[in-house]
Amino acid sequence: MTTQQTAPRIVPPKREYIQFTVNGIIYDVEVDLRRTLLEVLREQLGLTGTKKGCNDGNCGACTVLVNGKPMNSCLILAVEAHGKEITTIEGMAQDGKLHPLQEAVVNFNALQCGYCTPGILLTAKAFLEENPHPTEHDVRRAIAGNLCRCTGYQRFVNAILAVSQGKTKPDEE
Amino acid sequence: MEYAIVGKSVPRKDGWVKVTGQAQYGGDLILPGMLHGKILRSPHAHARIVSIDASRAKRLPGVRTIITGKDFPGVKFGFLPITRDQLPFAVDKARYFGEAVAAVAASDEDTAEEALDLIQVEYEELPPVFTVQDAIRPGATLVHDDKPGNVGFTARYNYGDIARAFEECDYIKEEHLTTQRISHGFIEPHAMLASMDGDRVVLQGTKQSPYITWRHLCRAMDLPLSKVRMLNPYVGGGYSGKHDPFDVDFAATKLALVTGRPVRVELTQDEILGMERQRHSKDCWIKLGAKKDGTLHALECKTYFEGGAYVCAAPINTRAFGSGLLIPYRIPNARFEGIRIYTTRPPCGAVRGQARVIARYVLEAILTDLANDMGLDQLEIRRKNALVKDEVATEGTVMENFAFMETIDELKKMVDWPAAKAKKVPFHGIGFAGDGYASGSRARGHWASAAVVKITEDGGINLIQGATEIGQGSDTVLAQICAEALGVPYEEISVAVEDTDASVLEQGIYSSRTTVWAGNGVRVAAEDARRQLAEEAAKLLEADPKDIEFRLGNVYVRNDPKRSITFNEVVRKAYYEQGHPIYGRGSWGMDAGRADWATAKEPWSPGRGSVTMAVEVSVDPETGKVKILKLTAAHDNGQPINPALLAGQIEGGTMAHMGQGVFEECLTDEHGRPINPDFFDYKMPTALDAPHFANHPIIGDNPYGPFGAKGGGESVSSSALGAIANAVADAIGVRIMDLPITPQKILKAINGKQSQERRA
Repeated sequence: MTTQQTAPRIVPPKREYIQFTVNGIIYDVEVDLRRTLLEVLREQLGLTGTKKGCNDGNCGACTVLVNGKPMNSCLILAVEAHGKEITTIEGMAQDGKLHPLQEAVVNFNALQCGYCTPGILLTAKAFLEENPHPTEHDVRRAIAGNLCRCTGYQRFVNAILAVSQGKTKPDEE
Repeated sequence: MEYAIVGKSVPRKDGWVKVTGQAQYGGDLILPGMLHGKILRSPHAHARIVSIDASRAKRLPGVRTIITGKDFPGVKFGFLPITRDQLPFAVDKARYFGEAVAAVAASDEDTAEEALDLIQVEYEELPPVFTVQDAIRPGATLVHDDKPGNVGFTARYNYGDIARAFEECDYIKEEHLTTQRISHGFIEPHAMLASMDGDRVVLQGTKQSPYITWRHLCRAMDLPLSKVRMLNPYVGGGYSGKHDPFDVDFAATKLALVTGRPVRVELTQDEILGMERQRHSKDCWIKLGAKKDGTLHALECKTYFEGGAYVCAAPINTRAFGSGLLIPYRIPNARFEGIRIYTTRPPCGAVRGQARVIARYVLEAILTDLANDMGLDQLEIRRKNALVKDEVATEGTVMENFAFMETIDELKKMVDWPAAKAKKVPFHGIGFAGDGYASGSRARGHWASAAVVKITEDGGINLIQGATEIGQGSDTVLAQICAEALGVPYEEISVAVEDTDASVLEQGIYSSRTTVWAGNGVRVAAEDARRQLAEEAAKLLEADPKDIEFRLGNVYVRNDPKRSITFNEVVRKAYYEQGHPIYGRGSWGMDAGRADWATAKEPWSPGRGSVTMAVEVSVDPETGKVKILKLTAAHDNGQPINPALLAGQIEGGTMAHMGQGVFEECLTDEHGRPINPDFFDYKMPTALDAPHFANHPIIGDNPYGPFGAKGGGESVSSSALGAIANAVADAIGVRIMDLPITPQKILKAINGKQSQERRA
């Protein structure tokens, strides 16, 4: 028996053009059909603010808004985003001005290492747009799909509740 | 004392970059021509590596190189000279499921992953050992041939005549408590990027203490320290879990050296949760004796640390455990034996709060049970035995500026004790625990902290220092200290990234040391810059340099504030007219003595925080589910530099210990394969589980700390595990002896208790 000496073959991946809007900008991108939205955002568009945590839909760090709904971008194929409107953390501040949630998260010291922060901010943004006057329990439920190991969540909850009441700063500390 | 910036909850330095997604972490870094690395891991818990054939993988288009353990120089590394037992990758045999065996660099991640499948490794399986019982049995398989009995490290102490002391006790309680392996639970996966700069390696990524990584990595790779430059991007959490060099660091460095190209190696969560560092599981026999009135008199504790294939930081673990038993309570006679056992499981190391967290848990558990058996009040017994200011603890530590007693009294008011005791609700419980945590105890290597304060010619300030911003807020706190010492607004301070070329390396981010040690280094450097500026200002204001004051950017003569000049003007004149660029240099270190690892004695530390915590829980008797209702802590961290950041540290640390208390465990099957290495099966607390926090800082004193600060990172949360377990025991009337306290164990305990009551 002779050993095969040729190199193993790689089957070229199938690619497709998609068009989608990210943070208000229209992109035409050729994507590998197997790539997730998370990978295309980070690797092809350079939008690394969307974080890869577990890559299997359990931690929420990669949350983006797809047509306004928070979704784990690691669970969506990029081709499924064709024709959709995506908001990532880079699109949350407008004209150099922070979104009230971003302001509140800084002012309440709701973040520490910052790795889960983009995902929580986008989840909270979509949540407050649908539930402008939530209870504390509502807020906790809304961000229960976003794991944070640094903060204990209390400050995120306080920051989100404050924004729902039109505030971005704690009363005292 | 009235400070301009210290003591204020100013917004974090890293707040804006983190909320806008601009902050770059290890996995975000890209360099031109970058290759992707992947690690091939052992599929057996214990196996001899007979041969590795990478020829087929090497022919895969896109593969640049493949390295194995034999490509490293064969120099072992480890925490102490006597515990150097690890090589970068497995060479002759693999000692745990997932140990690195080979690594590949390829043009993209898919190709690298495919190449792993083409590497053929022939293994000869050896019998594994997974538990302490198996590992210490006579004739057990040895994990390391030169480590008889599978003992990796032992620490012992013996204070007083222990046998006689127990005879003198009126009541003795004995318990056997066990705790489980947990993972740090990083949301950010480890990611390292190595690249070449001439003959030097530039290594950047997810490291908590670059200095520690740097020393050990250079040793194991036989590289001079000057040939490796470490840079730190933002780091997604440290939790004591990113100190020593891991396979990912070695792989990136070696692959870059071999290929000459930048190589990034990113791990996945199943590698991190299942195969990287974890907390030792512990088997603890503990015996506590007291006099009739509740005065503690004797303690005996033997603990086995099951820690996997390599000792890693275990001497720190045994020390933290042993010393953690003797502070904050007065126990005049004590004997401890901590034995660190090798098994064929992933190596354990430092985890948030250290083994001290477990020592505090076992001691607070047995103390609570002893008090209940003796009919004594939980807070009274703690008051009675609390070490007080300037008292000498049994192991010799002088409790300088120690305010533990004050925290008990403050907590008593906060929870309205003992009135709250009278309002006992069925299946509701309250538990207490305390601690006195060192503000940085000495480990290995150099122990000083240093900084450079560089004043730019337009009056801006670059703070160059070596402490890593891992989320704890060190950039912010150190900038506050710098601004206060220099008399400029906080906003003027820019904090540089840690860089082994540009900054003086900080010893490490551990043991709640950064605020005090690095903070003092920064303070001294800022004072040096201020002294230089005062000389220049004195010339301009025709005054004595000693009389020059700095506050929030104004420079003026003391007692004559009208004679003033702006900070910028002083700087400008110094640079342009005197040829005097202003660089303040400073370092700080106290002679803390050497650490005595064999006797688990903690060296002196410049400050000691203290805490008393109460946790309130409810238990659902139908489902066994624990709900943590509220955590209340009275604590002394000296003068908080930033109260909001300190509170954030307390809340996060506490919640992590809650995970260990009631949820988390790294589980493996009968072959040592991890069975829950993902966040679906490895249950960490979510926002719905997290409790309400009520913290009250008592501003204690610390003449050693910058502006009177003490360490705060772990010093409060270290009491949480004990308080949670005690609260559950109070709620259900039974002590669960093994962590985590899961609903199954609670239901079993409740049912057992009820059938016992029926029989009685």
